[in-house]
Amino acid sequence: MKKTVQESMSLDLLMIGWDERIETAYHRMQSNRLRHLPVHNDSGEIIGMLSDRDVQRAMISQVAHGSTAALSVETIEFDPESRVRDYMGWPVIAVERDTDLMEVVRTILSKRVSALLVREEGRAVGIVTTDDLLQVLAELLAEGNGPKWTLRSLLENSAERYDAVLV
Amino acid sequence: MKAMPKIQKYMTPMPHTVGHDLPVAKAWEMMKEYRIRHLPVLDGGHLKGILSDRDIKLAASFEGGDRLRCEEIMTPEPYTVNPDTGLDSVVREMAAHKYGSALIVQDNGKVVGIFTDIDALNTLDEVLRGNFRQ
Repeated sequence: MKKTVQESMSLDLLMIGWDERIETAYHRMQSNRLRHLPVHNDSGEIIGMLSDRDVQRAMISQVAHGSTAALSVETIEFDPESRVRDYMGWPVIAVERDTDLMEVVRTILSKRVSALLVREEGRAVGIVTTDDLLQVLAELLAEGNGPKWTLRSLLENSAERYDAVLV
Repeated sequence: MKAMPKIQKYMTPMPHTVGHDLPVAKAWEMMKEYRIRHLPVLDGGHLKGILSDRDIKLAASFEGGDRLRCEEIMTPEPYTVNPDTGLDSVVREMAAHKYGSALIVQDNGKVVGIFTDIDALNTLDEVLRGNFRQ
């Protein structure tokens, strides 16, 4: 059977295993320009979310004083023993794909997180971040009574402009 | 068609600020106490930069990071706008550049407000509810 585009996308590109090194997560975020990675356990179940803020807590950096007061980071290193599970946020906070966008906004605000996992029929289908919602606000303000935004449309329009990703 | 509201209607007025030579550890205590993620950094009342929780977490990874001063780890030349700037223009810039905040600065250089990604989400909530303040 021919695979669909969705099925053929590598989950590994956009997620991280809980037992992997933080350094691996850092490089995956950097190379994909992402600030969040869902974290899965050994059975493939998503159990947490790793943000760039979490990764920063694990960094061991070398810095240099330049000509200005500001410091510049010369090298970024991690303790090889630092694992994703030690720094991730958990339990993962998730919404269903058909959740009203207003409820998505309120969940992010009330839970004080910057990303939510999106599920459909028990399966993880993507993430939605504050950056995505800022983009929605920008477009709503530009369009006035423009197209009605939903979480589904946000995920489906995610290819280039948003952090929201389909997996 | 109604006019676009100004950013001053949506900003958090009179934000907490820190002095440029304040130890980073003090700024971190303020962030935790007030549950905020951004602090404008001032020198003699003038804006020098913005300090975010991301900057502090990065600094904590440096050897001796706890002894640094705010100006050493802040982001200089933060995104600033005039209080009369349209909300749409501020949100557009923040979304395009992934800025976590905009600082609202009067012509005399005084910081009068901050508009963060959290303020933006509250604004989005209003827009989606249809209670947009014009």
